[in-house]
Amino acid sequence: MKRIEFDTAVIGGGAAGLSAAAKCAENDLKTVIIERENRTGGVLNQCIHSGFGVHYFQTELTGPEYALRLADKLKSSDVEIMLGASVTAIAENNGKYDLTVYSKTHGVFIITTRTVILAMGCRERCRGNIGIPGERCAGVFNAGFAQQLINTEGYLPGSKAVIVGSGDIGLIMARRLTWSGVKVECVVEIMPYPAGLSRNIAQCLEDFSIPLHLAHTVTEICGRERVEGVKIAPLVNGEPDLQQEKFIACDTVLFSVGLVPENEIARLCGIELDPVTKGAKVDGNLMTSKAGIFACGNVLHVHDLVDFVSQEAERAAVSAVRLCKGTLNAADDANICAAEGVRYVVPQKFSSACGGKFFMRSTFVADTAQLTVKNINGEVIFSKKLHYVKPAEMLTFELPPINSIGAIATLEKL
Amino acid sequence: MKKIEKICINCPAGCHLEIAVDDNKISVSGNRCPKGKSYGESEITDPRRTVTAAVLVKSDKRCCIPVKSSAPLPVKLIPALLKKLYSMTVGLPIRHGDVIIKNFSGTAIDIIAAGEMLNSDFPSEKNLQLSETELI
Ligand SMILES: Cc1cc2nc3c(=O)[nH]c(=O)nc-3n(C[C@H](O)[C@H](O)[C@H](O)COP(=O)(O)OP(=O)(O)OC[C@H]3O[C@@H](n4cnc5c(N)ncnc54)[C@H](O)[C@@H]3O)c2cc1C
Ligand code: SF4
Repeated sequence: MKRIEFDTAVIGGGAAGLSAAAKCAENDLKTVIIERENRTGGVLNQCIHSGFGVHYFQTELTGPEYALRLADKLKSSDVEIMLGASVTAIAENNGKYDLTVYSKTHGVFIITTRTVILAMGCRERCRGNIGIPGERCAGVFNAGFAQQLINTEGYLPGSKAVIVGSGDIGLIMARRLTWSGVKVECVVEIMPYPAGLSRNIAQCLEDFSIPLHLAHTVTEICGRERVEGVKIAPLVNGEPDLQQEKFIACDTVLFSVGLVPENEIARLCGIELDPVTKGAKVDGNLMTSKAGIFACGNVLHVHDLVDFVSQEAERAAVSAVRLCKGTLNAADDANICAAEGVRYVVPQKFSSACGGKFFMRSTFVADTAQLTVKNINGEVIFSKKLHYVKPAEMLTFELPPINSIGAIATLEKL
Repeated sequence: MKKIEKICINCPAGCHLEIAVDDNKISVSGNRCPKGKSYGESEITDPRRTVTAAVLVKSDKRCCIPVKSSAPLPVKLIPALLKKLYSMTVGLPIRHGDVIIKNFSGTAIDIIAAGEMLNSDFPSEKNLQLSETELI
């Protein structure tokens, strides 16, 4: 079989893959990006709304513009970009890795590489994942798929829609549907608070007076050939109260009920995954349990801001560069775990001698909250006050060197 | 005096603004930066939004080019603009920044391409050439 060698292979050409590859090439690594689609950019291509790059490029861009800027950085580099090519397996081979690649133009071949950067993004959870009962009629879409249909192919999914889930994709789609002439009847959210960014509640729902039903769930999707409506009911003590069930007529239902990192090939090659993030467990270098394989972007944990994706990707790339040059400090001896009020912390490991930078998510909504990190002896090693905390918004913090092999993060409402 | 609550949409921080309107004086609080103050004021006097949309491309394959307004547009003009954008088609090639509609409705605001499409096969990147010498 055909075989080509690289210093680093980046799987996925979205924001994470493009940012990582640019950094690797800047540091003279022979780099390849393998991207399944016919163009780079990933999910950015369908996110035609504005709101990207405020931190990373210091200006507000649309998704495709952010992708263009990243692609432009690569034009002057030696990075090889393989489009229409999928990686289907990663195998260890004498301290290197063999990637099996299926390409539209070149058939099947092997890429042998010293380091791998996982940047495969994530996929959407669907109706089946959350067990919504009802008919199996046409007109039920995942919100991200509907976004792709409208924004890249110019098809409308229907004329009257109900959106399930108030995450950012659901909110952005409420505005997009409205703007394209589809009537959005309401957004239904199972939690007692909205899942998306406040700015998206403001500009996607409030601007159009679209009702948001919090602590409600869909109890049935009705219709034979095509959706004719949905039944929704409020949650009382965690159960839908069928006494208060009501019918909303519509021909389209959009599900925006979360994303799951696309880790099939990582799992198959034996990389340890975190049961909460569904991404790889990584150390301070963003290296997975397999030496030389790094992860960044939505495949590591789901991000709400692309700016953080790019920063994280560069961090993974710098680690890959150091590994290739033999200067990677892999003394990550301490674990950090999430406790009360914290859903997860990434990376899961760090160096007790250097401290580190972390991303985390809360489990609750609060105007102010106190983040406390203790070592395994229960001594407080770090604390910070945080404002407008909500599960939808990623939080960051930095730890100083600690004299312990473990740290525990808690978040408390003030 | 009238008090209005708004969320600033200018950055992901999403500050909760309190806008107090007194006859002809507007005061804004809750903003963490100056952009929030001017946003709060304009929400009362002249609300505007950046408009983005996807315009169909004349090609044998059905696809769209993303477009955006070069500056935030008065909210009351948005429906007319969207109607126009969602019923027109544009020819290829299109480069980032190409003007799709000039001076929309006399506002001095243009609608520009927010993406690039040289042909309907998308890729403008160089694709990997597998040369025989590279095969091991
Ligand atoms: C609807 C929506 C709205 C958003 N809005 C905002 C916003 O307003 N502001 C903001 O800052 N951020 C926003 N984000 C978040 C941000 O855009 C994403 O977090 C970011 O773009 C993810 O980048 P990624 O590279 O990790 O993943 P992706 O963009 O998903 O890229 C992954 C790529 O990997 C490829 N791939 C996967 N598996 C393989 C394989 N086996 N072989 C080859 N290729 C593979 C895929 O084809 C894809 O191109 C939004 C996200 C979504 C989904
Ligand atoms: S006031 Fe400033 S910091 Fe707050 S949301 Fe607006 S732009 Fe962001």
